[in-house]
Amino acid sequence: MLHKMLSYRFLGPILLIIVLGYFVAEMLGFGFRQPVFLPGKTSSAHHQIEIACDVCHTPLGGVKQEACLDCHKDALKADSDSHAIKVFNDPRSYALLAQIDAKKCVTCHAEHIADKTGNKVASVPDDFCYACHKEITTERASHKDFSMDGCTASGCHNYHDNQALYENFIAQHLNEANTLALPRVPARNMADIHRQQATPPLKTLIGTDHDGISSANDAGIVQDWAASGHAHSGVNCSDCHSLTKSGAVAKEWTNKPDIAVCENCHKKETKGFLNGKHGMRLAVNLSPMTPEMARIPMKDNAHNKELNCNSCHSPHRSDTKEVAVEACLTCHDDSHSKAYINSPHHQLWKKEITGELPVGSGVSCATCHLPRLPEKEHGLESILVMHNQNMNLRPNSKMIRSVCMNCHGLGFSLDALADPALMINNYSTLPSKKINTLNMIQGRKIMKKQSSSDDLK
Amino acid sequence: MNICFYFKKITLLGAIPMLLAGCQQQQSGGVNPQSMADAIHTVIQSDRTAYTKLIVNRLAFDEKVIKVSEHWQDDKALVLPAQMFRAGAEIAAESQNKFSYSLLSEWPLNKQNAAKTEIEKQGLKQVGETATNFYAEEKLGDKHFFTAVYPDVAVAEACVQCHNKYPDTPKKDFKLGDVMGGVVVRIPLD
Repeated sequence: MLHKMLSYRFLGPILLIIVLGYFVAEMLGFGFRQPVFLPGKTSSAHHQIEIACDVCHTPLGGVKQEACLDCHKDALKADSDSHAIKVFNDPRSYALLAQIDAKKCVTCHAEHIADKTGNKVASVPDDFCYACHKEITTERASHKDFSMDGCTASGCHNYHDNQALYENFIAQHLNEANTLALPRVPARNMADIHRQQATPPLKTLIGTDHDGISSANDAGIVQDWAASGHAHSGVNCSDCHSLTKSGAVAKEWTNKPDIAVCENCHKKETKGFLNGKHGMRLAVNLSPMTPEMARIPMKDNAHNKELNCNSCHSPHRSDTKEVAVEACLTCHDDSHSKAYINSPHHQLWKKEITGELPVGSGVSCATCHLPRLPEKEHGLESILVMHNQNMNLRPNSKMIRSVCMNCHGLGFSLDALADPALMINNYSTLPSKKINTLNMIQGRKIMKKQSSSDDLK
Repeated sequence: MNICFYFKKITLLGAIPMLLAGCQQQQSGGVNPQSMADAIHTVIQSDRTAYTKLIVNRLAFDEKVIKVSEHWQDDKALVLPAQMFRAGAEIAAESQNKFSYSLLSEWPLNKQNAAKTEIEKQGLKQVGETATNFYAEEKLGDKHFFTAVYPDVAVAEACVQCHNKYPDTPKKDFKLGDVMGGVVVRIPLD
């Protein structure tokens, strides 16, 4: 009893000290959450949400695996994850897991730990594959001279995503031209599918059909809207600016609809945006990302721009050509972005805009960083813009199939992505060296042919 | 015929929850680990045989209406029977931890499916030589397991042809009815 009373007696002062300590720390500019609980620098992108500790940390429970998967599970699924966690659930994996716990993301992606978290995607030593695959240098003659710290070199292997780096796929793409005979970016088709499937059929709206409130009847806005995909698909002013249509419009009108309104129709795009670098703060209920918060160079006059759907997409003009380049270069000011203007890709883009080249010939910022990806459901293939740029950003081999191979052969794509100078000059010059991957697969192909003809003898 | 087949399958699947419940009572005279492993293996092997014969062998080899491919996503093809087995084992391991199973071989096409533990090595050797079930207990990490290894037999021409022709196969002379590997069922004892 006395013990309990003593506990209660000291509880108040202890709490007071903690609260006062918090305010003193804040006033001294330490910030309660940051230097105290962030011993090292957060990794790229995670720095945006480092203030929201509870997104990753469970109080007294550490970082749960679910916290990582909440944001990254779609990316892992899209990668056809070569080392999916489910592979390691079998108890026979215990010996491997004792060496490297492959069931936890944080084993290889240590976050804000001073001597581990760096600029690289993974925080483990480069030869981490050795723990489970040490036999490869003796089993595969072609690998006998390789060092185990080179497994994940560009053009070789990727821990999660090997969709463009597995033997059969490479074997099907040997001897391709640097640039394919018909280099084309896939055409988006969601608006067409939406129109085809709509019941009752959609009515294309014209300027006089608009149902905006009188104060919003700006002629320029109406004109822009009437020429947009929204009017073409029967989306009227009230569909975005008010929660219900007709009658209640004036009462519920809002001048600046939030992201949830866009999400009503553009679910997958919004999900991608919220999972990507532009929307991840909004996804965890923080203020919108601004260029000022970015770690890469941004234009001085753009520092306070807030990122939401309308930052890139003009609210009434659905001109995706403007969105695909100008919107990006309004903020981004790094050497890769600045080099784009003089790159061959941009020359193609300009020619597409002026009509000198067919639609799909040009390469914009969005072509590579917000690629158009096919998705098949119920036998219907839709081509959607992936708004989560992380899905094909790092390592850059993730771009091989989703981006590069729309226009280039596999060999050229591997060579280009492996050349760090080309990343800086925005692929303005030819790759400086050839990656050996295709030669190795060619060798395997010859060996297999030899072996099967020996069997027939 | 079909109704009869599916009835049997449903009955076998229905036996698993009962056996799981029974296993929890093993100390008080319930189902022992070996009986549970045998029952689980019966379900696994029945489904495996059905998929191999009714789907893969029939559609890809006899009727030739669809391909079967290791790279089934890119090739828009049927998954290999071993991949089907593994996919099922992974789903089962994600949803519970009362048992696990895997398909191993002394001549694996995927090197990750070679024996890793001493008991697996002994088990595969026995089923390969005698085609009889192998039972033992083993300790993996700090946990004890009842481990059963059952012979996995080539039930269709598809099994034999693919394994003999695979580029990196360690064995090229399998025949129908040969033991090609072993199904390992593990039940934690702790």
